[in-house]
Amino acid sequence: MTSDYLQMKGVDLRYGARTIVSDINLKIDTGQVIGIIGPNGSGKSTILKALCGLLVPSAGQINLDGVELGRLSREAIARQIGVVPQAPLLPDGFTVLETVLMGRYPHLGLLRSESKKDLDIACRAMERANVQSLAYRHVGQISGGEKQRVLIARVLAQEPRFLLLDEPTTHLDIQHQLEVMELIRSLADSGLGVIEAVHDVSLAGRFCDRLILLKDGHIFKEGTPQVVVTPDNIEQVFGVMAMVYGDLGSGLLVVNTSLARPQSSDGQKHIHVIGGGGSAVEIMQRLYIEGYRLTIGVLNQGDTDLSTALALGAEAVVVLPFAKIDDASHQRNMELAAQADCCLVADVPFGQGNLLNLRAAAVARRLLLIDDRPIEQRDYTGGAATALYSHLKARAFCTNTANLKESLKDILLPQQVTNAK
Amino acid sequence: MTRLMVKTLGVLVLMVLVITLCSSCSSGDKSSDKSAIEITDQLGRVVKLDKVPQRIVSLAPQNTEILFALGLGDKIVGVTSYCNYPPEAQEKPQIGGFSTVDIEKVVSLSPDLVVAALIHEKETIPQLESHGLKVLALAPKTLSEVTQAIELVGKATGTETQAKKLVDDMEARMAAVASLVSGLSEESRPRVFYVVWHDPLMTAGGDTMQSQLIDFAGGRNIFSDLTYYPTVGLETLLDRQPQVIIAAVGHGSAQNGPLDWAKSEPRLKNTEALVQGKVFGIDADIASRGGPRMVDALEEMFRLIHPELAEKLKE
Amino acid sequence: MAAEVSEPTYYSQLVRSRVLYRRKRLYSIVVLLLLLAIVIGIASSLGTANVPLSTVWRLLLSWLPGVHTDHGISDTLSTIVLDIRLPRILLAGLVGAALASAGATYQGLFRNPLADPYVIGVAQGAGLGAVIAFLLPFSVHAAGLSLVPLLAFGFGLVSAGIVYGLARVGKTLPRTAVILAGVAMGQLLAAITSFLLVNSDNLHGILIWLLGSFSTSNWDEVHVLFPYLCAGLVVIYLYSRPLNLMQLDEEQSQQLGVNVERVKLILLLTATLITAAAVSFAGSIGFVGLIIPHAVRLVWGGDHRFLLPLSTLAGAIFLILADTLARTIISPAELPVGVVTALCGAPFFLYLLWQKKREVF
Repeated sequence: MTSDYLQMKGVDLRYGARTIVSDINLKIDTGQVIGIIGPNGSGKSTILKALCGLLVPSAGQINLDGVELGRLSREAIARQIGVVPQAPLLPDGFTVLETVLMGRYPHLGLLRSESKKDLDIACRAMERANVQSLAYRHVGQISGGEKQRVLIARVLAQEPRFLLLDEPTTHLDIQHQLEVMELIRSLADSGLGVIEAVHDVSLAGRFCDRLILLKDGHIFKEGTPQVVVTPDNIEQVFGVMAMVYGDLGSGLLVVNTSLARPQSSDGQKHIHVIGGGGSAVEIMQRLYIEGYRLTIGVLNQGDTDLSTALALGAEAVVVLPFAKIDDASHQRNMELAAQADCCLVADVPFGQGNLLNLRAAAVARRLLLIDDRPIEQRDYTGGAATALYSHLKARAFCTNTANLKESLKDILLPQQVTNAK
Repeated sequence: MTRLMVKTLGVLVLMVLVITLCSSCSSGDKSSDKSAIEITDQLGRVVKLDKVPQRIVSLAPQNTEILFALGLGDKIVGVTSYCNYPPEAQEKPQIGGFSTVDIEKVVSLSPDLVVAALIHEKETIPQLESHGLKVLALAPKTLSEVTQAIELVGKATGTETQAKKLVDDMEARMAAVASLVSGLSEESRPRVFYVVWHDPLMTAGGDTMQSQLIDFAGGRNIFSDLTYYPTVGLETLLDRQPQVIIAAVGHGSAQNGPLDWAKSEPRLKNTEALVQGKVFGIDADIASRGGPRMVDALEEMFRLIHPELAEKLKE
Repeated sequence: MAAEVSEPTYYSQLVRSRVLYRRKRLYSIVVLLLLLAIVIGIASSLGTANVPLSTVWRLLLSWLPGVHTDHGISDTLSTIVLDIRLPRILLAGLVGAALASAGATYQGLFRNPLADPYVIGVAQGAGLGAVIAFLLPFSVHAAGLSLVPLLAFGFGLVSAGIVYGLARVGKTLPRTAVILAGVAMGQLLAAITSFLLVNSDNLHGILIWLLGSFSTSNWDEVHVLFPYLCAGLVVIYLYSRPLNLMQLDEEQSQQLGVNVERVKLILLLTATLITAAAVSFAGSIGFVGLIIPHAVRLVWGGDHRFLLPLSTLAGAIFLILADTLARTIISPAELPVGVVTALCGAPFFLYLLWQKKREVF
């Protein structure tokens, strides 16, 4: 078992004089699914090409079970490693069955012809890839997605120990995308070592055991999906602002929101949000898109605002559900409010549990109050909140959610600094 | 002063122009008297020569032979690259191959007469005429047309006497053969196969010079029912039971190909020709050129086909 | 996917159809073999000499050991049927088989339906060699072969070798490069040949040779070509499955275990050798190498394990028929075979295309 792996050590890959990737180290064990993610041109396909022996590394080594790949014959490699290419280019003249049977070649060689056993294997492969109904159709007559599944069937017929897939879900509709990813997962569970280049970061995060994030030909980050797929990493590598929801039952979900904004000349503005109960979700998303650095406090665990905050990679001050705000948390909340370029109080109801948050708002340098609903309607403290609110209102700006963006811009203009009382 | 000079110059130029124009107009009248020659050549074209040609270009080997035979060797200024007889012909300037005549070269030699052949009818002759050259075309298809051709050349070049002598000589020799052959019955005229080329197997059809020579010499060309130079199968050859095989030899290159083949092809060994040892070669040039040496070919054929009558030909 | 219940019927259906597929094609091969034998028999009985059918059969049968049916037949007739017609027919069959097989191989290698045995300049090279042999002032005989096939073969191989050298990029042989180099080389050689032809006086003879002719085929030529062709065909048939896989793009075939460069080299070499041999004996007969594989593909599909042997047989049958036509249609004169193949091949192929196009395309 110790030699059951496909490995790249310190590998550089080049096309002529152009270096595509350098210093790549990765290891695929059987039973694992490794995903390679990264922007176009980062070298995902190139790495896969080298892993099946089609590209010789200009530096470093590629080993299969401890043996260097260059020393093995084409056929020997094909018996162990199967590849599903990105573009489903298949010659028109063959039927689906004949195409799938081509996968048996590495086990048959020149002389032996297909036996019943080979036909058996091909059938099962077609069933697993859900193309058995197309067995007699000519390849030229089926759709791109069906061709992709035929390619998967063919590689299954090859019975390899390692599977290399280059963006296997490109031409598939959602149902088939999930089918294929689940199929790959089950193959890994039954002992195959899988490495796949994946375009869709959500799918990668959901179905892979480990991820390799590539940037400019180097490994930017490597590890479990939770570690690799963060809003920060995505912004740095892909140049987009994304929200990463990790706590859904089905794994990761990445929602890309907008292009990363270039930093403004005086740095990224910090907005501290006082919210809770879902009142700040929309606010946070919109502010995040605008490029502000967000923090929020104090929230209970399980609060919807907290999911959003985590998804945005924003720092949140958290307490246990239904617990009172303890001193430490309150302290931190005030620190953030004071540090922020602007503190924003969302349209949140106040009760005894979160009244302290309103007090924390008082230390802000600039304060913006969202009052889509008047405070009276949101006061569950018997008047204490309203009193505090009016106090704050004296030196704060008020606006509603609709005018949030403009109001914030006005507040943050350099001249207007009000003194905290 | 200068204005006067210009005026004088202008008048002089005008006079020269007028005189030139007049002279070219009247040249037609000039030619109508004196040594004007008018001939209809063998392509039916009427050729008019206003004087005896002093510079002659030949566009075909057989034409070259005729010209030399009429003593016009000195007047020849251009020949083709295939003109190899007589040997003096090879020293003349060359104007191209048989079908690839260099028009510019011909024009640059300023010939008074160009003697062309059948293949030049469509393109070469019109081109030469557009340059103002006089072209006489010889296209003999039968043996008698060969002698006619010689006479035409004689008329065109003012060598009628030599031409007549040559033709008379040729006709006499032909008559000699004809008389020896005339009494022969069908069976005593051997079946002759003429090999032009061996791979593929090509022979001479009934309308060719070679075939007519064979017939005249007292043989029967077994492929006289075909025309031009057809490819035939070995099987057909065997089927027609050749008694004599004559192969074209020395045809420029791969000299003895047809003859070697005829002698060594195992499938011919049972033919009468091989059994009797009657496989011969003949100079391909003399057998194909409709010129003065045609009679040499005829006599050679006669000797090969009727060796038993050959002695009677000696004079 | 509840496959358990449907599996038995679906699976056995698959097996059955596979077996049928293979059986149908094996039968086709047998049928074509029989057809070939019949065609040879018929062609042997046709010709300018009038040989009665019974005589032909008696002569053919007398070939079998222990059978003496040929008494009483004149030597001439015997020579005609057994020494002239039969070797000619067999040579035509061998050349047709060679050209069709080479054509199918090139089409598979280059994945190009317009590829034929002449695409890499072999025929033009062989033609040049033959013309040079014709123009040389001497002739040589070796092993029953004259200088023409020897030089034709040599020049054909050399020109293919030059094309290979030109097209090679490091260790790989890109398909497009080979085709481009081959076309360029072919044009160059054809130009040189034309130049030589125009300046020779045996223009007619050489032109006819170049168009293809079997008029002087003999047993020696058959004895040389037959084992040669067999050896070449064995190699080509051996690589039929990799050839199937090479219809995928090169990356995919390599990923499936095919050593693409090695297969290319072997097949290219073998197909070129048999083409050069065919051309050096018979001139460059067009159409056979291009059309026969397509016709076979239209009827029996593109699986090279069957496409190749079926093309071999179909090519042999076609060229025998074409040559028979060439030597009988304007009897006693003969047409060059190349003219017949072009005139007959084109409409036949158009007909097949029309019939099958809805089915396949």
